Amino acid sequence: MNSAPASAPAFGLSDAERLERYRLLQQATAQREAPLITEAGLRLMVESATSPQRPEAFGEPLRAELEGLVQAGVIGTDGRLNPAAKDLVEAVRRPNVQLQIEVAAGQSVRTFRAWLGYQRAVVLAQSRPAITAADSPLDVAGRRPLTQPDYRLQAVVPGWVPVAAAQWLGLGPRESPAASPRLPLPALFRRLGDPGTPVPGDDPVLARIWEQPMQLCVISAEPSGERRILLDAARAGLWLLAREDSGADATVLAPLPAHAAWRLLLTLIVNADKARRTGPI
Amino acid sequence: MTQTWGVITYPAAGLELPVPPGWQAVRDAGAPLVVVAPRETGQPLRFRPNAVATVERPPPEVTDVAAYTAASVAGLARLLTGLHVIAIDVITLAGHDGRRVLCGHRDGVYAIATEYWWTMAGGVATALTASCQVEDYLDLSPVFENIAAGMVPAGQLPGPGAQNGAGAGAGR
Repeated sequence: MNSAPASAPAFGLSDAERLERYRLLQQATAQREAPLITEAGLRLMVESATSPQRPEAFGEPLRAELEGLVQAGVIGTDGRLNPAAKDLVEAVRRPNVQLQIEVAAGQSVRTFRAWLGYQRAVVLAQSRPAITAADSPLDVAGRRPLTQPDYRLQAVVPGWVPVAAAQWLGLGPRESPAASPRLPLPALFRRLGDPGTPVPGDDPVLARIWEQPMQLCVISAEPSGERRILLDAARAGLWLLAREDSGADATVLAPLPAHAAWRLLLTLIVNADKARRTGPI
Repeated sequence: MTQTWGVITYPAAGLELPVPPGWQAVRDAGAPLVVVAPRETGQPLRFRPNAVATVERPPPEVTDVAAYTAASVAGLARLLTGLHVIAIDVITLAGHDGRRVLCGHRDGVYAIATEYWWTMAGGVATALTASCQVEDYLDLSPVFENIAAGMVPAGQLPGPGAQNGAGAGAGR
């Protein structure tokens, strides 16, 4: 086996060269952390486009949010919107499409909001609600409201919004049974809050759903006003809620394979953009 | 004039790939068969949709397409920025057990949707990779599906000295 003598340098670089490589590597890999802001912080960002925002004008926690926006390079140290972030504010003020997802489990509602502009999009997302393998039905049904209802702010290209939404929701490969069980909606709502709720009826698919952790997702888009309600039943699949055609007080759970859920996200965005282009001026 | 689908072949491996109307086959040193969508005039900054077919002999421990998929997805996570695997579907590809995998990832300034079709025959793995900007996915996924449906996977590894690049076939 060949090996270098113990006294040989690990790299044939001078100190200056090594430092320069280190600097370049740091520059290439350093990512500014997405700031945490509230609704008030978002308004502050929008207002910084027209008037400078001074830290001394705000108390906590808004002052910290302003500092976070300055550190993220969205607002300059002079309190004015960084020219490079102008299209972010433009996207929030006059979005082509707005996408909102709310996920409800137990007493918790977590929200993902996106404003899509021409070149850029702004995503504000609370902590991920995705159900993990470690979550039990009781864990998810027992979720409490977030103690800090802050949003993580991300500036992305508009095309990234559906991917960000899929990541946030935990949309990924999973079982998708070819069945459409029916159930009374009140029973589903009871089960969402109490895993001890008995399965309504004897449908084995429904029984399988019942034994998994579950949460409800409401996805809506503007200006089309379209809205879809999904049931995320972890390993028992993702389901689209639809009212039964007969008008009976029953809900049909239509299976929504991951591919179809992805297409649904894209379709809601495309339809909303179409509604904007064809709507009243 | 109605444009028809064409076909390109890589005889060294027995691989065939349909070419959608208006798309063109291009030479690429890294892959036997590559087809790209026409360049859109007036939209120079858009990512050009493409489909790439590759052939390889998997490592000995990878004996079926399920193991090939697991190994390949792990490899993608190291290679692609911001990779999110959206779906993995069990399919049949040209009569062989296969997998269709849908992912979102970033490539420079682009948000990309990529679909993979993987199959193994005679110990040889064929991978079809079709990519476009996320914004174009709804329009292009039927085209990608048709390319995958018409692909003839490799039946053998190309011998030494086989050159990448397409041999054009008759229109379909």
